[in-house]
Amino acid sequence: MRLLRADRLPRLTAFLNDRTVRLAVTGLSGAGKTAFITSLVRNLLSAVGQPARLPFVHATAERRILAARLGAPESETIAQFPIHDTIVALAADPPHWPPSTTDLRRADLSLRFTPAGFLGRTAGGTAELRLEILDYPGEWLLDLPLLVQSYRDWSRVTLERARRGARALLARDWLDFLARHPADSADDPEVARRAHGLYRAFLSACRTQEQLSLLQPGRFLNSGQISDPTLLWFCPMPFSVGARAREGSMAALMEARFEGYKRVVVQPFFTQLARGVDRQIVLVDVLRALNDGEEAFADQRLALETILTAFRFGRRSLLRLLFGARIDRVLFAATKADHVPALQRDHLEALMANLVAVPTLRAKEAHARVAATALASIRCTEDGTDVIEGHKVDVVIGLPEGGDRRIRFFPGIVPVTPPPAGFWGERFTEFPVFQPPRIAPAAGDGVPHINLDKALDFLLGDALA
Amino acid sequence: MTTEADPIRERLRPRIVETGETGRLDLGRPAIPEPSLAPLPARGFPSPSAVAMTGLGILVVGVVGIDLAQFVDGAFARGTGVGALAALAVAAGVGGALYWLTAELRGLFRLRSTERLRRLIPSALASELKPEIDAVAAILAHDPLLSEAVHSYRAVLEPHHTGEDALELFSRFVLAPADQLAQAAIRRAAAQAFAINAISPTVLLDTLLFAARALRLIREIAEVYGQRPGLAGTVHLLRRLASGVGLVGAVNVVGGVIAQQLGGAVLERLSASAAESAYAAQKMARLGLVAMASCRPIEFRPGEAPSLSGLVSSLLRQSQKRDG
Repeated sequence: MRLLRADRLPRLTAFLNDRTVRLAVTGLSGAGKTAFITSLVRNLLSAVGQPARLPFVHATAERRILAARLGAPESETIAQFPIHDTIVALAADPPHWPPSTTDLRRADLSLRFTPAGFLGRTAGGTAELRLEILDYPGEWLLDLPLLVQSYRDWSRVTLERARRGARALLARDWLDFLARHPADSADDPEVARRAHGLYRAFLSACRTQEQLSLLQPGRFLNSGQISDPTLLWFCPMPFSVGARAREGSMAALMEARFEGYKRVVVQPFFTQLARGVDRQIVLVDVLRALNDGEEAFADQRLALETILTAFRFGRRSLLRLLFGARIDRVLFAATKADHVPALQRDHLEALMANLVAVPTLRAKEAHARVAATALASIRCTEDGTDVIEGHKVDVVIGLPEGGDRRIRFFPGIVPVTPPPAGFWGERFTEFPVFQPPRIAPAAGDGVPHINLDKALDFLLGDALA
Repeated sequence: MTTEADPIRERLRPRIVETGETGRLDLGRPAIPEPSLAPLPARGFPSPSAVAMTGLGILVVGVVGIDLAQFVDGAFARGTGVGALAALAVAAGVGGALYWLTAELRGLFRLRSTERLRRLIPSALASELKPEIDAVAAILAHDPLLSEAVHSYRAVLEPHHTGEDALELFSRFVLAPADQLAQAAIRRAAAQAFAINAISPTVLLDTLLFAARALRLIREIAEVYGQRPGLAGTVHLLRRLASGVGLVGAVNVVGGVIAQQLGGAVLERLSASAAESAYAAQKMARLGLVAMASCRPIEFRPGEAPSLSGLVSSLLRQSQKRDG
């Protein structure tokens, strides 16, 4: 008697190859998460039976993707990623970039493909990859490290930071207010609300005036949907060394709200984000930070390292699947690679790799696969040359948002390592935002990009094998 | 800080220059370029052998030309009809010879162009790599077996791809299918070598048939890689194979390790004559791999070259299936 009947072999293929991959798209505000998800979904939907825009994805190059469809999320609590609206916005004339994400959204993509492995080829049939991608406001990521911090520790670190560098000037009103309302004064919800308002204004100024990144709590800048806004009415308070918040004091009120915020707001988000995640892409707008100056650059680096401590890396194994999944592939990607000419994209990639050297080591120690790249989810420029003071230089050419004449943009020299103190000149405040190129509203040609396909092959290549 | 005293850094600061161009960028599918090969660099002095061969060629053409002219002249002396017939025959002969010569020269030119690019690509700068790969693609685009693969390669190649990207895509879209075709040719030739050895009554006939099949295999592989060699091209290929890898020696040396390649267990299961046939097949496969490595327009990268054991084992599997 034959154990394996030929007509059951395709089902065996599905059993062996069907898989769900949860991809965490991680990035600070403005890093390009929405553009990445849009381009990824659109290009995979357009890649059925043709290499299209993704020649570096083995499954598309080998024409093994047979069908792709966007599904509705199973969870009713998370809204569907608005791929249609985003594409319509990008394809409009004039186009506009989608607005910043204000709440949690999910894109579910299902890819039916022919397996390339020996068993798949022998057994015939097809397999399915279900890809789940979460989109959320980048600011919220900065809340994750709060889960392992006490109110007192967080207050101490935040106040120390607020008294240094560019923050010091912006924090003056808030710190003066705290000086008038010390931590051991009697609790007063109205004082707490005003202190929160001043702290929030300080965070907002840090972002808009100094382009700083490490701004906690993230919901103070992008609140999303919160049923009880009083949960947010807190801020760091100075504690004496060794002191504890006295019952009935301002510090005790703030601490209670901080803990409530963690429990009611941060923990559910972390559960959604980190549960079952197998792959992670960390998007970083390195170029903008580089142009924003030394402090903004250092702050972005610190924010990244802080965020990444919340994620668990490790090789995929059965035991780990039973006792908590880990991320077995991490890709660090410097976004907006279309803002630098071809020769400097290697620099950008090297700079990215150097910036995340510490998290990379941690991931590698846990036997996760790690890589760094430079990518542009939606390519908005083409390469060209220009002559600057008699020297021929490589530039990128594109149409700036809101403009009607194309510009040649020379981005300066991108260093391959985090720059030393002597590197920093005046902040370059005119960093251009380019209009997206012409994109057809109907699927087919996909979205032009740089290295998105290499990123996808790294993240999903084995799942599509 | 940027100051006037620091002109280099000032020059390297980011800057924006407005252009006269308007309108959104259209980054649709790129137009397929038709690259042309750069001319070969001129040599200082022609080699003595080239001068000698040219002189001898002129002598032969002169002698044959004068003979033919006399032949036609003599024919006309016998009558206009006979003369016209002779002139027609000479014209047909000369036309045929020219056609053959043109085909030979084109084959030889293609072969030499491929060889030149093959030499240049490993040491090419990133900026040079793309045009050189385009030139190889232009040669292979004329190959009916690979024209579709070249079209796919050109369709996915975009202006922002680097030279390394282009090389990777060329390997993936063009060379990988070509390698598969070449391997299929090797498997066929090896299977036939197995059969020739099994049925051949004498060693001499066996050797002659093996040599003829080997020659055909080399030409097949060269054709797969877009070289389509004529007589001169084949001679050139054989010279290259023989000088490059020590053809016969290499095959025989490999033969010495056949037991390791096939494994003792396999040999035990085969009869003595079958083992000899397997040896012949293995020699043919080895020759095919050497020809592949030699004719491929871009050298194999580490881990890309097909293995002899893989080819031999697939051949043995085919053979066992037939026996079973």
